[in-house]
Amino acid sequence: MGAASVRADFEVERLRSQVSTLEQLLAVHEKTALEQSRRLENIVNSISDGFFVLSREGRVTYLNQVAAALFMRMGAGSSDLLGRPLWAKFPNLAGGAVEQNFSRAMHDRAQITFEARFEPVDLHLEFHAYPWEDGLSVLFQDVSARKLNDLRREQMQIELERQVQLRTADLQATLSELEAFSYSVSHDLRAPLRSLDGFSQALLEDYSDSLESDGKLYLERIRANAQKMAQLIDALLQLSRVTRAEFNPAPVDLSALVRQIASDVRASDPRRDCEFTIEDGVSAEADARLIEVALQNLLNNAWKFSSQRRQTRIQFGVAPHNGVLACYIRDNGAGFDMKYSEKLFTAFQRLHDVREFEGTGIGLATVNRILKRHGARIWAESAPGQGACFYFTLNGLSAEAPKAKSA
Amino acid sequence: MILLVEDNPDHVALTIRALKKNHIANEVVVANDGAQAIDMLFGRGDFDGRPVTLPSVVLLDLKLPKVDGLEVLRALRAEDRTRLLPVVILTSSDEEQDILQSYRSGANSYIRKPVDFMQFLEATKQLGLYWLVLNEGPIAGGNG
Ligand SMILES: Nc1ncnc2c1ncn2[C@@H]1O[C@H](COP(=O)(O)OP(=O)(O)OP(=O)(O)O)[C@@H](O)[C@H]1O
Ligand SMILES: [Mg+2]
Repeated sequence: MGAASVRADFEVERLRSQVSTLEQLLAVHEKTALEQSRRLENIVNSISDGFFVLSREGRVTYLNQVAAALFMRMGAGSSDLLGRPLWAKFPNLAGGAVEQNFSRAMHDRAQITFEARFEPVDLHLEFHAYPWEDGLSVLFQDVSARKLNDLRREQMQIELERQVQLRTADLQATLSELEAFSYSVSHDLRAPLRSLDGFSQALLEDYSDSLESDGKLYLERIRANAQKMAQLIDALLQLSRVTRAEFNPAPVDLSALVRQIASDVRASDPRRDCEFTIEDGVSAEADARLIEVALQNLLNNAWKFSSQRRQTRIQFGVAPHNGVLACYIRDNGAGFDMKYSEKLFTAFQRLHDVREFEGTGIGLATVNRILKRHGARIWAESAPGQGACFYFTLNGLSAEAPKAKSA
Repeated sequence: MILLVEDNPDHVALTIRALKKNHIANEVVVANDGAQAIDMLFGRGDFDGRPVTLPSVVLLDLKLPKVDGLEVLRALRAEDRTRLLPVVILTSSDEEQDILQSYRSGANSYIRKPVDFMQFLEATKQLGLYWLVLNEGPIAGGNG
């Protein structure tokens, strides 16, 4: 054999081995490619959303299982779809919102999200379309359940509003009933009392000669009680008015209000030795008329229950108490036992004997109601013989000038 | 003459008594409800054809059977002949609404009937002075 043939043989061998290497490499690459594509497929199929790819011409070039299932529900087999134009398969979608949105995404090269309803099988779909050079990748899912929930929630909302309206109407009816009731209280319940008082007085005047002193005393007692009952009726009416009154909160200068009331109170008995200390610049968000009624009641109480002191001292101001900023009205009067402090704020509850301090026991119930209407709170601190201090909160309470000034 | 429009016979008696106590000697004519008051003042119904004597003052309760006090008042104010007739509302109600409505409808005065008869005496005393002595207004001369 010549050297040439040996070289040729060698060359063939080398080529063969190269081919076989290449073949092996190719096999490995093919296997990897296949694996990769399968992995990709798995990934795409593992998404719970439908996923498909559209070519520029609108052909379906890929779709995952969820997409196939969804399209099936819309009336197409998956095998029908691959490689076919989407719009031909679903003429209902052609020209509609879905096609328009897809073209827009492709044209603008911008991702788009939208919802659409597929009428024939009443399917609500949510689409996310992502454009790329040669077409569009689309994720979509069935949102019918969510839509149904939204609808139910909307209906529930409507039902709720209807209920609220019903309740409001109910409440209004109750309110006007209350109005009618207090009207007849003020009118009808007072009328017989007038007769009681009037005719007792007539007896006293016209038949005074034939009445013994006891008889006159009894008539006086009848009159006193008729008048007492009239006072109670008026007190109840005052209380019901607080609930019925309009409520218009605005900034109120509480210091000025207290000064005004204090001077009225003092005028009721100018000889009494009383020192009012009223903090300046106290203001809050309140209904001016209602808060005036509340302050009147509190100051009248302070004045009344300290009447037995040689010198009365009444203070008004703002201070933090139990961790909140509160207004206070303090006196150095008779005070009361804290055991009963809760009772004070209910109607007709009194802690003092009428023979010692007169009153009907409606004042603090009124104050309590007024503060409740303000969304505020009242509480008291006292001890028998130690004076009393009433605290209340109010929205926007502020004390600008913390210096106390004597009135 | 004083026209008292009042449905409660006790209150009629007490009002007449209070007027007497205050030496108001005018004759008191009583209408028991609003409809009767209107008939008397306008010569209608049972009073058809009778000559109408306008009172010096009308004491008008608000809560009345058939036609209530405010309606009577409005009827009076709607007629030329009775437009200026002094009307005093005399009622148990001290509802703000009633007071406002009364003045809006043309009441000259508003007195809440107090339960205390002595207070009522005082109120009628002022009423008497004002309407029957001091008020020599447009209706003076002739009636009452
Ligand atoms: N400043 C105070 N000092 C001591 N006790 C008080 C004070 N304020 C209220 N009280 C007690 O609380 C009770 C209820 O007060 P409230 O103002 O409701 O009624 P009143 O003052 O007795 O009557 P009214 O206010 O209806 O004329 C009083 O009777 C009294 O026993
Ligand atoms: Mg009180």
